[in-house]
Amino acid sequence: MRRSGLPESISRLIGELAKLPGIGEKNATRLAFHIFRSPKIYSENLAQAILETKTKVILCDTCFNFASESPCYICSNTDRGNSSICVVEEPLDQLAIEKSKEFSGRYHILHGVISPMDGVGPEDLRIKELITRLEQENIKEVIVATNPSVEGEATSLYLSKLIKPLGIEVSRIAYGVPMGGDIEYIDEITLGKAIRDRKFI
Amino acid sequence: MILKSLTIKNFKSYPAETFSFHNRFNLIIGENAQGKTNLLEAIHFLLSFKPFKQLKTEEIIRFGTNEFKLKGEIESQAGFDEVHILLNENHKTIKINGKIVYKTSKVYGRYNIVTFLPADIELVKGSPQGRRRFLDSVISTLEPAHLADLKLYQRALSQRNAVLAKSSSLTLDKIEVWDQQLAEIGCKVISRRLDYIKKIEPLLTRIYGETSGLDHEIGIHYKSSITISKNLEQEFMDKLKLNFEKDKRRFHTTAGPHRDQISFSISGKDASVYSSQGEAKNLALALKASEIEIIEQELQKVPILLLDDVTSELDGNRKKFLFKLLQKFQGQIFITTTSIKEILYKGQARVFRIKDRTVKQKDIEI
Repeated sequence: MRRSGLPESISRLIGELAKLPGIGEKNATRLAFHIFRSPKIYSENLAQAILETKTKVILCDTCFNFASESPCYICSNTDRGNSSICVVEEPLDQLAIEKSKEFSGRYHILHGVISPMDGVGPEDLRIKELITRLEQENIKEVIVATNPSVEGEATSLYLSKLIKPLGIEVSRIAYGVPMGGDIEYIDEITLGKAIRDRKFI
Repeated sequence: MILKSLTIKNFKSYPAETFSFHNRFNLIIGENAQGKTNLLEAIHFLLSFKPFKQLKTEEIIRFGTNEFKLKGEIESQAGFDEVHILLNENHKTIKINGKIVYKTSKVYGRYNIVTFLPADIELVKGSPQGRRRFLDSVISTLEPAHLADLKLYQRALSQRNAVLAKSSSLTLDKIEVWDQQLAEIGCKVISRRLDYIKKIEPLLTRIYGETSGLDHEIGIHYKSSITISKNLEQEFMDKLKLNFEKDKRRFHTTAGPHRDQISFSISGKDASVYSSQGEAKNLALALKASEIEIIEQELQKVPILLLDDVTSELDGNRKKFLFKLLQKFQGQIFITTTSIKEILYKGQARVFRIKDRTVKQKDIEI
């Protein structure tokens, strides 16, 4: 889009912001003007923060989550259980599960799912590293928490085929009805799955 | 369900036009190439969110413009809906009662239509894909989960084919994870098709008898690439395993619901090969009539009928049958024709006369 009349540096900022996911041209313009009008210290902090994500954030050598040191605070926390690992696709998924406070074991982040269409095979994910962990640590259960998509399912099947022969239990997170939800508003597919996977009480 | 009104902007041959429709019978009259079918297609697009057949976006938008808009008012058991559709080169936006619909699959089947098109005869004489698509689309309106499963199946299939295409050193264990999913979803697709065939078959035989006056047994045959048994999922898995070498050579999956064949038979003889032109027309007509019945039976809803220039295709008895059906039908009808003489319907109707890009409407008694 042409941004005639704008100083080049603001125009460039808009362009960069608009590259962010979920940010369109208009939103980017609003953000850029907000930054421009804020005190100088604000832009310094923002720039610093952005830069530091690239320079100071590393991947934990054990679980491959984003961290500032390796091993990360979860991997080095001795209060946490060390007999189970929860495998997720992305760091954000780990955050979501951590928020639930239901799981107090270890994590392992795959950084993606198997998707041959996009040229992503098992060797492109952190699967080899997971197996090494399973061989070294004393793990009894692996919980696979990949997304319920075709690719997420395939990845979980792949993992279970790989891990079960090691004599370690593999479980898959359940699907179903969200808490506090109204059954009438749940889509048929989720509801169908919830009915098929019902449990006795 | 009744379509009260429709506003069109830049759709095919229409720059801008507003129509208010009759609750029962709407007759669209005009010479060829005046835009009768385009009006019918606009109605189809409004109610099913897609054109009659797969078209490129630029073929639907009026030449020289870059977006079209449709707005319609629909009254149904569920209440009153205002539907807006906006389509430009890269995006389709659907709004129902002011709210944007982000997933078309959520509203698919909300409005039910049955179309009678000159190309319907292809369902009998044409390719197996056409019949598969027809059956799948009927099932999807009755059971939206079918559409979702078809999409998932397609996704799993593309992934499996991508694995096959990639490496020649492929081993069975690399493809197993896709096989399992293909089998799980594919089974649901096959079982649903078999269930609905069983439901449609008796309707079809009865209605075919009414169109032809003859007592022929109509069969719908589902020839699956998977052995149909109690344990379909296991059969599917076994078949994929068995076909592994073949699939690897051909770089794609050679068994599954995407390859299954559906055929019709009249008194035991394959209709795509042995039926006469007349028999094929009867059968196509009977298929569409059974589609109406199955919607009424399964959903307790009355669909809207769209008939495009069918009267010129039909003669004598078939025409009589069709108009008897339309006369008896409880819902709203849209029909295009070149001449009012072709229409054997009796009752109140609204006529839309289309000529030289202008539309004149008038209520008459025919």
